[in-house]
Amino acid sequence: MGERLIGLGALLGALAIVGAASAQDVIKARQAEFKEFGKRMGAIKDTVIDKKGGTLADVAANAEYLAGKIPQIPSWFPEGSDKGETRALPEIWLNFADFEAKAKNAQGLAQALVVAAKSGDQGATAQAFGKLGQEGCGGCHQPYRRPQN
Amino acid sequence: MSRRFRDATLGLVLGLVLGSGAAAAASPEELARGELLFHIGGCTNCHTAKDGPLLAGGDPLVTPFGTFFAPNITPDPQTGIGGWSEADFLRAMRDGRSPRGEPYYPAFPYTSYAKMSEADLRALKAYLDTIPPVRRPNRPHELGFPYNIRWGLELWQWLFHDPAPFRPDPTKSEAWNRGAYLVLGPGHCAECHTPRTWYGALDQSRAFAGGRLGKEVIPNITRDPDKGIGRWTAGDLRGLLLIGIKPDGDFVGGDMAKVVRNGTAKLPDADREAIVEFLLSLPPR
Repeated sequence: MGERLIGLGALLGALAIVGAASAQDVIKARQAEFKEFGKRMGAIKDTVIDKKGGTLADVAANAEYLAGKIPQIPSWFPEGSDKGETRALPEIWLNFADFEAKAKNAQGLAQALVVAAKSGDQGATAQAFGKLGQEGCGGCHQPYRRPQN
Repeated sequence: MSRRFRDATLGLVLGLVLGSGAAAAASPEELARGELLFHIGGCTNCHTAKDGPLLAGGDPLVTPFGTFFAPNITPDPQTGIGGWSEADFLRAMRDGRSPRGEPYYPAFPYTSYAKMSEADLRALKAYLDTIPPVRRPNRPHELGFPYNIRWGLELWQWLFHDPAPFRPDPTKSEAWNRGAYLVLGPGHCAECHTPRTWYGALDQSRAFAGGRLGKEVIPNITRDPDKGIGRWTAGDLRGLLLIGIKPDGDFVGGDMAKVVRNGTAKLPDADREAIVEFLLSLPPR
């Protein structure tokens, strides 16, 4: 009996360690995804705002990538993944339905950017891009992310 | 009644009627200019509550000195500024004083607005007069000691408030001067981006070096390559002022998102470029 209890304790301890390690992995993995988002947004900006290279077709491709990935965002935030080196705030899990709604909204804005870029209208593309950044990305970055120090 | 006296009275009355008529009928150009100043001035960022009526009073502004509630500045005569004359408005914006002569707290950035030209201030007043009046009483500020002593403000203004208008630097380009005017005057960028001393004056030795304001972390926007934006190109800054994007593809949040959306995004290209030119000339701190 005593041995079994010790065994169970060891097993639970091991699970806890695995759990902690995987929380940090989850954080790392989503940070890599968001870094890629930033890169794509930067590339779109080069074309749309700075007008230094890239075509509207490239913009559409990057926006399509974002529209495809954004719906996954809520799955990158399992409960408890605010513990570790992350700027994710615990408010995410207090308002998870809102968090999901914000992701859905951002996805719609990314799709709108795809449509605008495919139409070939520079002005509409720039507008859709600004909206995606401010309301899409900003939609969560403002309430759910700790400010940078 | 002597004829001379009667003529003088008639002249005075006519003058008053014509004078007020001229003030009421602002030209479309003046209103457009006033609207632009309203945007760059960011009036709505403080004076409008979230989902509240435009300019009818704002959300709490939390500072280390206490919590301020920006008042109703719609043209409502009772609770807003509808009863104000142009002179009252100029006095508030330049001297930081109410029509009754009471000093305002510098949470209202008259320290920057004082740098605006008289023509711009008049245009802004003309535009504000066109906002729908809303009846909404003001909420008093909630301040801690010693900042709640109003006479302390008299002293503060006497020590720290310079009501002199912006003076262009003739050794710099026209665009630089336009940018400096917009940043230091109506844009009042320094009010957040320059840290304050414990007595609430801007610390000019650390101009635009950022810091902390309430819960927000305010970035350093000088040319310092590590702490500031010394590595940014003109294109990076343009993108930020236009849509709020940072060089890493992320977007500004918090109050700066409002500043971009309500202000810098709405400027004509030439004004935005002028701001870029001026900001890129700020010495690293």
